[in-house]
Amino acid sequence: MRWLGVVLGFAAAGCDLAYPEVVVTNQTAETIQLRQLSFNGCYWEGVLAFGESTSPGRCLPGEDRVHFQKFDAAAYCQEQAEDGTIDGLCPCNGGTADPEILEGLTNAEPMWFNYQTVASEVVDYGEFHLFEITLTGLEQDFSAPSPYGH
Amino acid sequence: MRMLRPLSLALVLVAVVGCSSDDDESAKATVQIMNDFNNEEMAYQPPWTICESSYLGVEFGKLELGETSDAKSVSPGLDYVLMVAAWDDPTCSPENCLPLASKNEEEVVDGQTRTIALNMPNHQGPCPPEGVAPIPEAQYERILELWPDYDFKSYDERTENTECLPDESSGAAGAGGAGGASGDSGGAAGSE
Repeated sequence: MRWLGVVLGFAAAGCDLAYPEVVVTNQTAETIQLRQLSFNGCYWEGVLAFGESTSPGRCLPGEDRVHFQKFDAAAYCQEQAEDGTIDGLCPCNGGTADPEILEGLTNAEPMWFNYQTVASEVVDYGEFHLFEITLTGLEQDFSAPSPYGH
Repeated sequence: MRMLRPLSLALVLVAVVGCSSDDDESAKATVQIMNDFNNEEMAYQPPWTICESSYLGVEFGKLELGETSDAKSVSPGLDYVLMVAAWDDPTCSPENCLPLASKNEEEVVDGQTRTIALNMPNHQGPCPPEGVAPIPEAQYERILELWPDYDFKSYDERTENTECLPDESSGAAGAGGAGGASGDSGGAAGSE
């Protein structure tokens, strides 16, 4: 019986020493998607639509911001409409593309921009954290190369 | 012997100081600045004419799209390339100009020959579109000191520079300002 208690004690301690578990949720806006999310050693593949969450990740203990790329479909759609770059997408300005658009400044390819959470979060062994990405809690991350090239 | 030790130490010190000051004075790097804003390998080619440019205290002058400056000798070091650039205006009318800087703090070392390219990813400005960094106050103030004739607004009012303001005729952002990404308006590091 004494051995059983020791084993259970170690098991409980082991549980506390497990790497922190983190889940990230996209709570920005319906038209905004996130991808390439990372936090303190965790990296999540795939795209997070509004309201969706990552799978739980075992991250390193310590402090970090959530880093990710953001795509705003509504802004993209408006830009393409203004530029008249996509067939079938109704151009702005009374049905014609903006005549003042300069060559070299139109691009129909969606752009994902680098962002991070404004706040840093601290996680420790044995803990579980749910981080919600909101519009008020994010900022551009200029430490990573932009989609405009290196 | 006791007298010799402080004397020799003093001599070594003088030699070291003398040696290092000689190095600082003789160290030189050769630099060219390139207006690479029309680089077709980039996702966007904002039409910035570089009207003024300076790096490590040396002026490189005006550079039209695709143009590279003459090679100039600079003291090695680390610095941003500072610029005044005009949006879609090779004549550099002040109302189309904004203070821009390279995004990277560029470095040259003794004996190096280097061309520094300024393009979409390597610039920052006072009213940038998404994906282009805003210019820090220190660089902005240095540009105002270097080229006061352009009469740019103070850093706190940097987004009120004429080039940052919406185009009255179209309602879009100022031509030099920002719209780099959308193309509906200004430059890539100007405004939005």
